[in-house]
Amino acid sequence: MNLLASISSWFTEGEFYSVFTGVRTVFLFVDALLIIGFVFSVMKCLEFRPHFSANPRKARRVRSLHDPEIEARWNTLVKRAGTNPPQSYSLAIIEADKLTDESLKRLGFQGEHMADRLEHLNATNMRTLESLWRVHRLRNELVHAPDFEISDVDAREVLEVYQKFLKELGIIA
Amino acid sequence: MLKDFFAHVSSFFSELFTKQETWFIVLILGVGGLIVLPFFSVWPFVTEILYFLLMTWWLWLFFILFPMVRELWVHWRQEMFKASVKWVLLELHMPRLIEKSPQAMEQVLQALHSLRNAAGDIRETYWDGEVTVWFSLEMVSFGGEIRFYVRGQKKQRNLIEAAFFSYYPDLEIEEVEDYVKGFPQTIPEMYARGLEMWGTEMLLGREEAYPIKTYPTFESEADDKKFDPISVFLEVLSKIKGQEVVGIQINIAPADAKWKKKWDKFLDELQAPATAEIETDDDTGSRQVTVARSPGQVDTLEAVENNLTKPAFDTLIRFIYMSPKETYYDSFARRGLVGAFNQYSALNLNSFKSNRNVATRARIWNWPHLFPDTRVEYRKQRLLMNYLRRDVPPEMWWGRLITSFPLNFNFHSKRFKMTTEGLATLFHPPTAVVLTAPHMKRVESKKAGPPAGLAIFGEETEIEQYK
Repeated sequence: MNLLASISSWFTEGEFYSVFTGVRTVFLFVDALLIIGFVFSVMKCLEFRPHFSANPRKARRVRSLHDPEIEARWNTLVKRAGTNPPQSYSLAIIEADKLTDESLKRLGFQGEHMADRLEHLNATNMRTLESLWRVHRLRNELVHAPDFEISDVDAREVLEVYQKFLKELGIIA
Repeated sequence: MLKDFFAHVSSFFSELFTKQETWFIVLILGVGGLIVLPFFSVWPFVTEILYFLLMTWWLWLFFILFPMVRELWVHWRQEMFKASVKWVLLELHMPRLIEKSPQAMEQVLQALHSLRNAAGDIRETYWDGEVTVWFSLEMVSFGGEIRFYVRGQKKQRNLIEAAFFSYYPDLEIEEVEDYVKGFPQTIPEMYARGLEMWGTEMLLGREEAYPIKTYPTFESEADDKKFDPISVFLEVLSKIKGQEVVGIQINIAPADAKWKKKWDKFLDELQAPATAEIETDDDTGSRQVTVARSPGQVDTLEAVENNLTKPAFDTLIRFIYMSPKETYYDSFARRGLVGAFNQYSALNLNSFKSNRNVATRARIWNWPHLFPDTRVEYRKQRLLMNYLRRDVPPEMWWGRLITSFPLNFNFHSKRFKMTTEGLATLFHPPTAVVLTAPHMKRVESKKAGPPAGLAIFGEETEIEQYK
């Protein structure tokens, strides 16, 4: 116990006592700063920490409406459209309408005709729906009316509307 | 003297605590000590220590916290710096015929070395967090079609091009969109696409002062003794098919020119003359005499001395093999690619080996035997992330710790110094010897400069497009 007593007396009574408290105050202040700095740096470093999971095989799959098959078909359709105008454009429009209808079916929209399926969509949160209605009617004209002709420029615009619609749904990228 | 001692002690401890085993032992000792201690009459002694600690804890706290905060801070700034660098990926289109030896590539690398940057003062170290910006030399095979890429800083694009063009005037360099954008960005995404991957990083088998077997040993005057070691890579890389991808990436950061200082002592030992003890007739009985070096020793010494005269890069070699699950065959990468690296090994010099703690293979038989499957999943995620970012490991010990995961410590990825000669051997435009390889797209035309003094009409901006 002698040692303990001597240590404690050195700290509390000795001639270095005032120096000791002075140094201690400085260090306590620095320590407090360091603790703040530590918390701050750790928080900043955590932003750069990668996100790994222990079992990535079971990681939740992100669901998207993206359909690679429809997209591939769309791309070939666009390629073929300009090959032999004006007939190829008419065919491309009919094909595009069919493709859009099929992707709607795949998403589970019920109805007898494409028009019935489109009824389910809400025009207020879709920018392209209105123009799709327009081109769908135009396509019906094209199929049913004899002698209906469409210029190449118009046809390209129609195809663009179908593409924008599919893009908005996220079916093609 | 004292500084050296502290540096030594701290490096010992930081090395010790990079091992997961150490943490297990510390935990067990701590718990065990709490249980066992009350049975011994050590209390007077313990109270004395506790009292001493109670009076001086602020001092010890300072010495513990200060290095921690310093390293974490620098790590954060360095990550910010790395994220702020703008990169450019350049594809190298190989001409039909290159007659230049890889020595030309060595000169290109010397030129790249001179673009070195490093933190020089307090502001650059602690505020900018500057790290040496690295280049990435890449050989990538997309289903058997091999492409060569160089990635560097966007603002140094002209300088990188100049370095290549001055030695390979027939080369075509094109800025391309980063091909890794087509890769799965995370491991869950990779599984969702039905892919599987294997990958690793390479380490040197011996001290980095020893060079690998470099291109001069593959060259010869006689045509039938000329080889280009890169042909092995081209052949292996061209063996994959369809959706498979193999990417080899060599990240090189120019190292300080003083890198060989570290090996001065090593070289002295190597140069020390060999001695032998012979018996004599006088009283001492024996004495030391100098003997001539063996030819092998001379060769090694020569190679090491030559290696230490060249500028070096902090090098990290990393590769991944990604394949649809049906065609996945990990031995292709594990043996084929690692084997391709081993053609550069020489038993008296250096060799490459796979970094077993980074490789995406761990089994219950391998140390430390715990949860091998989870470890592999973690390693895949880390390796893929590092590959996509062409990342280099954090410089700070605490930076490595804070990016670690419970079963995946981030202390294993290591860089080593490799000289321009070694790197030029690993990565160079394939020479005429391998031009029969049909697996690369090539530039068919030969280039020549315009006549001197050609009158040019137009503004700078119009000339710009012909560069």
